[in-house]
Amino acid sequence: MKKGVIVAIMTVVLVGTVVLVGRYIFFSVPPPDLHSARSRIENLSTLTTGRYEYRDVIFFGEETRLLGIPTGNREMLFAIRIDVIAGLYLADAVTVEAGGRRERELFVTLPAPEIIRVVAREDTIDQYFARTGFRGVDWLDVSEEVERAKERDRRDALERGILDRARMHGEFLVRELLLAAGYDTVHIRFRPDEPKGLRG
Amino acid sequence: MTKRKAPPPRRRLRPMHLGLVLVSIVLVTAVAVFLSVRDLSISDLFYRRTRTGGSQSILTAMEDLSRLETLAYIRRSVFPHDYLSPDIEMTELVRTITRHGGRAEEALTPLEYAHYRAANLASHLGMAVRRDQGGYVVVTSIYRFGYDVETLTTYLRSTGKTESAKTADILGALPPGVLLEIEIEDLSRETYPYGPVKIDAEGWRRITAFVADIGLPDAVFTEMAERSRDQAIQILRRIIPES
Repeated sequence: MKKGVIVAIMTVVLVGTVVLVGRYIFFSVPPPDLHSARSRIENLSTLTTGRYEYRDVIFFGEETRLLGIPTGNREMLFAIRIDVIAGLYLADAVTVEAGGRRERELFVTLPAPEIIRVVAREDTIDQYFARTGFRGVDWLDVSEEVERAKERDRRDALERGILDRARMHGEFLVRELLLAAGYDTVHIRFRPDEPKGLRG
Repeated sequence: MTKRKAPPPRRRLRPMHLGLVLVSIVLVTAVAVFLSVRDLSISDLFYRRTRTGGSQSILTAMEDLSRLETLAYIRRSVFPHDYLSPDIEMTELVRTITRHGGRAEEALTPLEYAHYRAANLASHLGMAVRRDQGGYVVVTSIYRFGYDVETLTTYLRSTGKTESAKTADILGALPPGVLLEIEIEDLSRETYPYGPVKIDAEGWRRITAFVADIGLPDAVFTEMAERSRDQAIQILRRIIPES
């Protein structure tokens, strides 16, 4: 009786292992069908006026143990450039009023500057080493570290005054545009709105 | 007369049994203490995965930008499948390249060359080398079109200084927008439902570089540049009052 149970359990384990290994080796997932969302167009109204560039060195490590015995050790170390880009969303509450005492005089109100996006530049990846083991590394796991680095750089850029710099240069650019369009005097002020955070 | 059964002899606790019980209690207590100290669950005893990660950064540059972004074309592509043609054979491509002295770019048509590069890169990274195979990654590229503001001010200065000029007339001849940058969207579990991506950092760099290098078809590029101009006109008309 006992012998029969052991044989049954061993058979189930064996068949399960064969099925799993066979699935891994012979059957692979087909690529997704992206017909419905292959491309789309978005209209933008963004004046990007400042960029802080960071160089991040990122480590990713993962250790697996089965019954306390180490079965896999995967590590990766690489550097990547991360850009924090700030500017003005011109679709938001831009008001322009002509008039005043002079004929070609303008009063412009612009939205407060914001962080427009934080971008990891894949073309700048510099990989120092990668020990990926038999199973390989899932880049989706590593990208969680990249996301953490992006968030830290975003906060650092805010502390280092990226929005002030974006505001000053934004003011300069809008003034230059309007002077080029034929206006003699341009008064610019910014809405006192608090930044709404990251959108892009 | 019925015969009464004799009661079974009482088993006495032997020292060996007592020892086993004590050893079991000690083992269970030790495991429980170990689990609570290490903050582990019972299943961790059988299979456990520990992940470590970290990063440090330095600020390397602060730069002023002067870009009016007016349009984003967002495109998803499946690498390598979107770049592999079903009716192209690698052996045939290699023969053609050999006949032309080994210069693949000159020997092959753009379609063949894209197939050749995609298959080589995919093979190197352990991904599909034919369309009917698995092993892929979905790459989302964002092409941002618009203008350098200096270009716009130069354009406005050259066309709009006259008193009689209307804003609409001035802006009507604005040239098409230009491609300002190509951004590859970072992958994350929340936004990537297509399964694991078994590549390292270098593999991801090479795939995204390939996708960015292939770029957009000319017709799409031209259309996006025109649409970018239309959107720029809308923005500038909102900022520059009708004269």
